[in-house]
Amino acid sequence: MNDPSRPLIIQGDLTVLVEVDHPRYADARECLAHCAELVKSPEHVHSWRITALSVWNTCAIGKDVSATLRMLAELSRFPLPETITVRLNEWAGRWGKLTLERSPLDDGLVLQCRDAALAGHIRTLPGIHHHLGEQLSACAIQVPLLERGKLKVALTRAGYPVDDRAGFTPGEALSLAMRKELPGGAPFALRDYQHAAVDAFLAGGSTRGGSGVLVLACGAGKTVIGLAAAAQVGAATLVLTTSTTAVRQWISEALDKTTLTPDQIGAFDGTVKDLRPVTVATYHILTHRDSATGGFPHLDLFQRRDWGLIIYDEVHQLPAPIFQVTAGVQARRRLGLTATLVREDQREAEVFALIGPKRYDSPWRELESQGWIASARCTEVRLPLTGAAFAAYCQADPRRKLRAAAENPAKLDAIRVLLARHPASPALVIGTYVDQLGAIADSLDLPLLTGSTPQPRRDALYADFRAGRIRALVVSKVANFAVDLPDAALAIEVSGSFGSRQEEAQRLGRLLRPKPGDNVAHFYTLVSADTIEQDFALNRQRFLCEQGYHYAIVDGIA
Amino acid sequence: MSLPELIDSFALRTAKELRSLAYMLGQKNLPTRQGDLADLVARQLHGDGLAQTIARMNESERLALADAVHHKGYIDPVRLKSRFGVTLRPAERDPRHPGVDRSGNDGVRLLVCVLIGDTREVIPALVEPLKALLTAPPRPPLRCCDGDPPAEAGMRLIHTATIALREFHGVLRLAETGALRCTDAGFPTSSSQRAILAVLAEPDVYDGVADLPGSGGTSQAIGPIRPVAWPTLMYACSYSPMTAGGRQLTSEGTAAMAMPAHCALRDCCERWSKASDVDEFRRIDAIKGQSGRGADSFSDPADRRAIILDQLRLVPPGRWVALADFGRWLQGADERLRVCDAAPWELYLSEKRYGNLGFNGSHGWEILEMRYLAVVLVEYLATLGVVDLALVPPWGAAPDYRGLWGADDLDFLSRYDGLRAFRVTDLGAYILGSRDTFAAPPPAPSCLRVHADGSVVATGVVPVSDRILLDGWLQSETERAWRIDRDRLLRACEEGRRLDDLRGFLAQAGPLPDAVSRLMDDAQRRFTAITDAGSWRAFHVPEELAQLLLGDPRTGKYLRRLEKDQLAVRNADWKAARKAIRAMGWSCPE
Repeated sequence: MNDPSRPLIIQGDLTVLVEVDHPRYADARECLAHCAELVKSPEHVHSWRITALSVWNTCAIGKDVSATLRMLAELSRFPLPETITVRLNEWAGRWGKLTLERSPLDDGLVLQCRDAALAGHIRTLPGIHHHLGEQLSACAIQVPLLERGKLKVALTRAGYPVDDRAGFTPGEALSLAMRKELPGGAPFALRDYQHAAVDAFLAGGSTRGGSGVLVLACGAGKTVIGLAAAAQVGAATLVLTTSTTAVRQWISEALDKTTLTPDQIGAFDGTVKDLRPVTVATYHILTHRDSATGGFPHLDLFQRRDWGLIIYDEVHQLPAPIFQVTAGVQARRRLGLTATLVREDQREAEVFALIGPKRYDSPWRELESQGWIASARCTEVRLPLTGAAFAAYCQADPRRKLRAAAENPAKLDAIRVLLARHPASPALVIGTYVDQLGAIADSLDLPLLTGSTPQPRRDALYADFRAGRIRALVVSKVANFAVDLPDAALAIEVSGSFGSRQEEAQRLGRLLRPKPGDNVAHFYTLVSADTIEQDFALNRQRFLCEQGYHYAIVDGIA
Repeated sequence: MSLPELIDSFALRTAKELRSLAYMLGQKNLPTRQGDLADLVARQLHGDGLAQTIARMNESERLALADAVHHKGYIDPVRLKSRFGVTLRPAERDPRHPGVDRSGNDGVRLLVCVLIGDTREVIPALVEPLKALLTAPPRPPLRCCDGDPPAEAGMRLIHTATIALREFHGVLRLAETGALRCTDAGFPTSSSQRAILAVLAEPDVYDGVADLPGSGGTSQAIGPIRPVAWPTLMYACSYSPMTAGGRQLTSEGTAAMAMPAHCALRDCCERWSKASDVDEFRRIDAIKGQSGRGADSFSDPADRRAIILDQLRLVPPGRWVALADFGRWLQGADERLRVCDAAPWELYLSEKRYGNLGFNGSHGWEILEMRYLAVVLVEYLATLGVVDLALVPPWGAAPDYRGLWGADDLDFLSRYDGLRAFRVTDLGAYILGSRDTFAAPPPAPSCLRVHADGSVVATGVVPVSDRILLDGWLQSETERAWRIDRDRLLRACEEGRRLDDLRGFLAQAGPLPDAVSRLMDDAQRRFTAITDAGSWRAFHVPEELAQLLLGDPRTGKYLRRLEKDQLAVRNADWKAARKAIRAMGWSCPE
């Protein structure tokens, strides 16, 4: 059977292909959003993957897998592979066998097993026993409060997901609402998809909601969604993010978009340690320790207030110690925000068990087509590496070849040409090597912003950039994450961290906030032709190409 | 023709013969000398006399004579019978009076005795005068069926053109992978026959025929047809060496790969028709003894194919022709199809001691030539899409072999015995050259999608032949997804594949994304950037001597410095370099 009127192609390895231009694409996406992970979304055919976690995600939000299977069969162009039915039923069958509930005596938690045999079996699984308390009955096992997270992670790894219905502590109440009008007088309201994301996270306030991950593109307003979730919860909120700059941006957004007052929100980072009803901290300060063997003095931040919600910004970067602490705060609502759930360290299972299931996912290009993020035109400019620079490249140690290629002097002229080509676009010149960036900044008489730039100086530069007093900023890797530069419409990438797809996506993300006028941003990546940098560039671009972005490739620049 | 020449042509006949001829020509007072008699007879056949002699013949005799003089100059009874349906009754001669025909058929007597003699050859001196008097008889048209051939139980009509167009490149791609091997006789091994099943667009000719009523209970299996034909064609056309190791496509095969399917099929048919090293007759495996000494009795298969193809060019395309009718028509062709040049004493059925096909009546037209014709039509020309087929199961379909020695246990003499009729297709007319153009059907829309990230995804069923191509060029990721990868592209180029083939194939799905196109351009450039400079020989030399040798024009032109004390010379220049070094008073060890 090959029925082209159906949009799904389901393969035996549990990957699912969807034709984007198919008339029933919306139905297919709706079906897959509940039971599969979007792997990539290039221009014609999107790839999804059904995994145990994705099936448990389906179950966790109360969806019936048999209905999902019927839907898949109804949308599938070819007969369903037998493996799909078998694996989905097997995985779904695991969900609900173990339920974590609050003890009737409120002295801890109880793990309810569907049958006595399972209760006996899980005690025999490696790494489980020491998280369990005494046997309360044939099917009930006591679980110490502090073991809640660790037990969930261990059981998830063993293939037995836990339906955590122990609920959350309400947390310290906080009166907080989203503004309907911004301080400048402009009206403000959540976008439809932002509403949908918040609703998906809270699940109507039931025990099924309150923990999970929202996946949205850079520039889609994840900060606003986090604040809206905090407003709905109405409790003290701890926000964990990646850098001091990002802390400032969260605070700035909160004051701009919510009714929070400056005394209700504080920063907790390397320079300031304000513990307020809404506290924004960096992962770095939480995982800071004085010596390699010492403890983490700031990790008790999780316990220093009765938080009703913890927000994990850029959850795909969550460091290992935070996982450990998060395992101990399972009684609190947890919201993960990210542009991609793909983790280089393969710890998706921890994210699922400790933060929660994926609640919402929206492809970048859909947001772009709806005008919520800017349309980006990506161009790879290949520049010849000649003369002494080429000789240096040839003689460089293999480990230093990338840098030798990246520091191609021809890039300086190319930057000049590109800045002249887009005279009205606020621009970022982004790179990895500070020496190179310094030389560029000096030659073009542009301000340089690196990790060593003091925060007041950074804030001043950002302010000037926003106000248009500075045409372009030369920025190092500090600009990769959570820097809010609303007016940047042109980015010129002069060097990158090897083949990091994530870095490429984050750098493009700096441009995606909606632009006035044609809502178009330009992203140029300058690479030295026929060098190792060209190969790395290919790899770096893969994630964005998988998201449906095209790179035009040009040789040299006129 | 001059009279003296005619007289000369009778000069070697005896006086008795000439007297008899003169008598038949109506002469009464005959001279006695042989020379005078020859003169008399010649004068009677010169000018008007010849016309009067022809006038005394009947229509069949005139037809026979006309065909003889306009063909090869002799009367061919088989040709007469098959071409015009004419059988000349031999003259019943009175041994005492050879000129007298007891049957009273004066014309035959004249024809046999006067014009052609006992050898059936027309007297050479009369050929031209007779040509002037007798027009060449037109060949009667081939009898074609009105509509489909007469229905028979179990008959199946097989339309071959579309199948051939869909299968050709797939087979070529399979050959390229090295999955096909041939035996010394040019036929595929059994594993190759199995491998090729994967690329067949439609089931084989007799696929499922064992389920037909009445076909069970036989011990003789039909066996594969197209799975044998395709590899044989690939080998016979020199598209693939069909041997182990390395890339299995020759430059001819590579060229065919680049052609549109209908052009490639035409090329294939042309090459196959000229291949002498593969004889399709070997596929009639019930006839044994074909190898060894038996092989000597066979004519050149290329000559046989040429005759069949020449005649097929005359068949009106699109009309069914019964095999029997075509066989008769073929027998009447100017060139006679002959499987064996001599009586095939080495050929036999089942057991040589029971008798062989060398005996009279055992190697007739129906046994050898018609069987060969069926092989060519069913196995090769149908595979190439030249002819459509109407077949019944072969068991008992052509029982004319039953009387042969050793045939008792055979349910059919050849697996092609079930061929009843065929029809030259439009594609066939193009392949045979009777038409200059062929309107190829538009290619099916590609189900492939090529993405800017280098992934290629199939949204429909990918034919195995396309899958072979994709697997050869790209990194397979899942059953329906591949990735374009520079390393894989370069490896494929090194294996001898042409990047343009992949580019053209992917372009069927739509314009290639810029990134993909550039990746291919880049791979092409990198593949061709480094070229083979030939092999060099390095040798150690003391540093000062190295300087001396490099500096001297006699040796310097051959030498390159590798290290301070190492020089290199091209292998091709080695002898000259040694000689030059010796001339300078030094020596190089061999």
